[in-house]
Amino acid sequence: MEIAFEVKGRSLTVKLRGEIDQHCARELRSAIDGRLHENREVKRLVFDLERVSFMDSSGIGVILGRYRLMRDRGGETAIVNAQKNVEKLLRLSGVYGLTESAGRSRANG
Amino acid sequence: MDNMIRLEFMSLTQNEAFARSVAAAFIAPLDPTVEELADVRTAVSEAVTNAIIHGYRRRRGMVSMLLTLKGRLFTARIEDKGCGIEDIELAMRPFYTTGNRDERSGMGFAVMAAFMDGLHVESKVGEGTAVTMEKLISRREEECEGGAERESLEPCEGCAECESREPCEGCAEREKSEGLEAGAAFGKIENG
Ligand SMILES: Nc1ncnc2c1ncn2[C@@H]1O[C@H](COP(=O)(O)OP(=O)(O)OP(=O)(O)O)[C@@H](O)[C@H]1O
Ligand SMILES: [Mg+2]
Repeated sequence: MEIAFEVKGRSLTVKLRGEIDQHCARELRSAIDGRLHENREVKRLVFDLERVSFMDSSGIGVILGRYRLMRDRGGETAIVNAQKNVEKLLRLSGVYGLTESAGRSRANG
Repeated sequence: MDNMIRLEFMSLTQNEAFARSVAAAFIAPLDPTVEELADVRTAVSEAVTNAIIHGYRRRRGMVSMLLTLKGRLFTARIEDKGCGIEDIELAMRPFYTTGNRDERSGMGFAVMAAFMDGLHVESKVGEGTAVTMEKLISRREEECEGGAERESLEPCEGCAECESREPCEGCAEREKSEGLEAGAAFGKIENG
C-alpha cells in the first residue's frame, strides 16, 4: 500500500494505492492522523480510492475512525473514485451514508 | 471438477494477502466473474483477519484454511485454535465488535454473509473458531446456445424440456406463453 497526501486550502486528500487490509491499517491510521494533527485547519478529508484494488473491513474501520475525528473538529469526510468491488463494500457497511453527500459536493470543497 | 487444498500459516497479518490470493487462484479455473473473485477474496480476508487479531490477539498461533471445490460450489473453512467466541449470534451482528471502536467497524461477519452464499460459524471458548463459507460460482454463458449439447448442470428450463434442436427459440416461445398466462391470471385477480 502507498499513501500520498495533497493539501489544498482546508482540504486534505489522501490518495491510496494497492490493497488495504489489517496489515497496513495501523500505518495508514497513524499517517493520516499525523497529517490531521499537523494541519489543524483542515476541515475536509477526502479519501481518493481510485488506485485501491482491494479493501476489507479493516479499511472501513480506518475510514470510520477518521470520519469521527473529522466530525469532532466540525469537519467532513468524503470518499471518491472507488472501484466497483470497493464500492460494494463501502455501500454494504453504510460508510457511504456518512460520507456520500460530501463526496458528491466535491466541487465546492 | 473437484479439488481440495489445505494451507497452514502463522497468525501474522502479512499472511492475509497470501491467503486471499490462494483462494482466488484456487477458483480461477472456474472462470469466475470479476465480482465473484473480489467477493471471495474479501470474505476470506475477513475470516483470516479475525482469526489473527481476535482469535490469537497478541499470541501467535497457526491459522488453517481448507478450500474445496465440488463442481462449482466453492467452500472455505478458516480455523484457529485461539480464544473462541462466547456468543456467536451476538458476534455476527452487524456493527458488533469487541475491538477498539476507533479501528474496527464490526462489519466482518456481515461482509462474509453478504459476499458469500453461506456462512457457518463454530466456536468454543478457549478452544478456537472455525468459519465455513460457501459460494456457488456462476456459469459465464448468459444465453442458452445449443442447449442440450452443452454440458451445463442447469440448461435453461425450456431446453431441458423441449426436444427441438434449436431449443432457444422454443424457450423464447415458452416464455412468451408463460408470460401470457401470468398476465391472464393477473387480469383475473384484478377483475375478480
Ligand atoms: N476467530 C475469532 N476468534 C475470536 N473472536 C472472534 C473471531 N472472529 C470474530 N470474533 C469476534 O466477533 C466480533 C465480530 O467480528 P467482525 O469481523 O464482524 O467484526 P470486527 O472484526 O470486530 O470488526 P471488522 O471486521 O469490521 O474490522 C469480533 O469483534 C470478535 O469479538
Ligand atoms: Mg473482523
